[in-house]
Amino acid sequence: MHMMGAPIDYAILIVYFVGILAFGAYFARFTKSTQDFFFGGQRFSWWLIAASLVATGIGSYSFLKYAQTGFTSGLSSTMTYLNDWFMIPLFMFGWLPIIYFSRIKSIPEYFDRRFDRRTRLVATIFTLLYLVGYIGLNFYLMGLAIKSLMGVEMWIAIPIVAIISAIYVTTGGQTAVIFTDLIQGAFLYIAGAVLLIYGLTHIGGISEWWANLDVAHRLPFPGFNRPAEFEFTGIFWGEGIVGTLAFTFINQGFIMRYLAAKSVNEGRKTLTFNTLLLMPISAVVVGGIGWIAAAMVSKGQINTGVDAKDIFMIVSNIVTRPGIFGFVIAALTAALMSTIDTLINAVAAIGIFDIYKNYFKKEAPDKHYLKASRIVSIIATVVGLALVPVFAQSRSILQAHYTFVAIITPPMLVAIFLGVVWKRFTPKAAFWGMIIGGALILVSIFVPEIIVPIARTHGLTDGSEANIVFESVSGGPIMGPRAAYNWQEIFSEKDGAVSEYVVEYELKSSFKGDYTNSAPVYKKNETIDDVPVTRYCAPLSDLKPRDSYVFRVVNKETGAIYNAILNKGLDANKLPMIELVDSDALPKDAPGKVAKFGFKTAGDYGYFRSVFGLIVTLIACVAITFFTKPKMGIEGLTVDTILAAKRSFKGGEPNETKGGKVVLSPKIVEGEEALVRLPATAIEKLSAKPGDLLYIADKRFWLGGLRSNHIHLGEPHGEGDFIIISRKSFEDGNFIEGRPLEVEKII
Amino acid sequence: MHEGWVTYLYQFIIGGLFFAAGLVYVVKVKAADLKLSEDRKWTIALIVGFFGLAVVTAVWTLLAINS
Repeated sequence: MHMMGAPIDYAILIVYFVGILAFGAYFARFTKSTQDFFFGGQRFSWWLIAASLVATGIGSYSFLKYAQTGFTSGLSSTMTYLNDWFMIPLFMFGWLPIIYFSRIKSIPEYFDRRFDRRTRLVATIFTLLYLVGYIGLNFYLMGLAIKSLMGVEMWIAIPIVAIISAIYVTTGGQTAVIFTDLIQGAFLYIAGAVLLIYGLTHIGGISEWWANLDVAHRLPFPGFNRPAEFEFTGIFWGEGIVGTLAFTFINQGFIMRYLAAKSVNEGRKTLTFNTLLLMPISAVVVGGIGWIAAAMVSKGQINTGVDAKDIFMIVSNIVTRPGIFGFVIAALTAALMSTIDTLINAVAAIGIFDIYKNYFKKEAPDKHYLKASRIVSIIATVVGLALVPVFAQSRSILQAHYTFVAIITPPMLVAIFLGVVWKRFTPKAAFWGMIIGGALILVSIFVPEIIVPIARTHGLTDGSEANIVFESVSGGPIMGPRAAYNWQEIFSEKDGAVSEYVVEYELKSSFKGDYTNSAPVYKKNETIDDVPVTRYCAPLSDLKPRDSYVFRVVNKETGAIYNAILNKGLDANKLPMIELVDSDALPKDAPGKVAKFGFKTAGDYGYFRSVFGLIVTLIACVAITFFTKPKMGIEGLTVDTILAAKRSFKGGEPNETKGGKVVLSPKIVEGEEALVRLPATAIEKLSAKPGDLLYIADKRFWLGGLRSNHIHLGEPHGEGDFIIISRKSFEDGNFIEGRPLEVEKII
Repeated sequence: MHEGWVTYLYQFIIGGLFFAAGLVYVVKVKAADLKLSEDRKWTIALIVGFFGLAVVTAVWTLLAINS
């Protein structure tokens, strides 16, 4: 065990921090305008954007969260990463070209251009609160992870990571974000692969690992509507449909990454590569440790009573060695930094484009806005840091943030989605639809019964069914309730019922006995590390959400033996611990000491709340649309008018004839105008015409477009086989004299 | 039928409906213009991607249940 880390672990961390800081700060020289700061000059290659998206998509808590899910649900933990493809056509051919060609800089800006200013204001407030909250949340969760893994206090770890992230984002902007993400993404993948290899070796190889997984842990999908915390239908609708739309349509950081691509076509390459290849790999990287752990439990290498939420830490400690452990910690901080840097940059974009430029300083030189962008980046980091103690102080505030995100996401998503696909959709419908939808979701939190009709269509319960589980270990006290992950797997009708015990339960508020119920107790015997363990489970039914209950584990022959009270109510998202109140009353023939037992409801509205929000907002938006007037002059902002966006982007009729690429040496001419001229043969090979938009880049592909520029093609020249380019265009592209340039037509 | 196949069919039939609806819509409004070679290429890539995922997941389910 090296919980606190060996010196070599800390050495690796220090080298990593210094390296990433220096690497990120290097890219400050490529940031000369707000276009560079927020969109990297729209110049990057698909593979660079894809790598950056990978690093952004994996947060430091992803390792902990998906290791836990992988442990409890097996390979189906990959489902959240593998179900995005269904909504991709709308993004690839709809939203992506709209935002790219219409030069949308922020999600709220789209609300303004497509609807009106007040809708933009609502979207700005919602998005800012969401993003800033997420900065604080990411800092907090990373601090928790580091503390649990290394014992380093949050107040030391968080500021160090925050300062490093803020320095390179503030100086290098989106370019630094993308390039550091490339390194951090590689780090994440390598760390995940190393852990997997160590884990598999520890188990005895892939065959041994596979053989020690039960069928439920091998399948690509979890149970159809169970277990409540990770069930198929909820993930399909909540993540695959609503989540994918939310991620692709209203995630400012995600959108900005695609806007940094050199062309829409390059964005499509990123999208395809990322969704079909990199996301599956990410799913393995973050969930793999959990899968290993599940097999280790099966082999008796880990106690079955282990708490699933600690599984990443436990397995990392078992399978790694000093040095590797430091590498894993560096990967966790890399995961945080690569998410935080995107959030900081996204907050700065909204701060500048939707607030500062929109309300305070409408006209100013770009250098002024660039300076302001850097200041806003620092402010975003400081505010995020200030939120850490707030989150740390109160779980209810943390929960409030999650709730807030759940409330705002479906309404914003519906408004933007209808805005994109339906020209008739009106600004008033968007505004009031969002307000009504958000209000109804808020109501559903306090009155979850209104979601029941939707949840029940997929066999989900309203929290009225549950299992209680308790266990005894011969020769010693028990360590708490079973983790929820395999209750249903272990306890079923096929296991033997314990005839002498029954669980009785009644509403706490009605002790008089107007509601009582009982359930048989089932038993399963196991041997863990040569210690016999007996587990008991009683499946309960007809429970009422948010009521309090009294439980008794009763020996039918001798009467009540343990009493417990559930005071927290049946919150489908929580796992209350119920202390037994009179354990002294244990009969001598009871199977060991029972200290406490766990309780888990079967119902979970987490995923279906988003579907509910989507439906009610959709109904409100459609209904209001038919009584209000549509907005005119929205060409280029809907899917059926993308051609108008292309014309606007190019400043002329688009040329979409497929062409080749040419490589030529540059000949620089003095001038302050953007200018590029090519020989007629080159123009013919490009299938281009004067006025077309070209992309010119340093020929070295591995630069990923770092040295490149978009320029409109001038008239052909007959001076030889080279590119005539103005000094300004050459410098804007960060080109190096003497280096050959590759040219392709964009549109 | 094993529950693994129920979830599989649900995923690719209901998901497939969303996928097909999105694809048909963008083609119908000419956001994906099949006369353009690039748009044609990406449309094919989308369809191949869908069926590729379906095949890989089917093999995975088969192995999980039968091995």
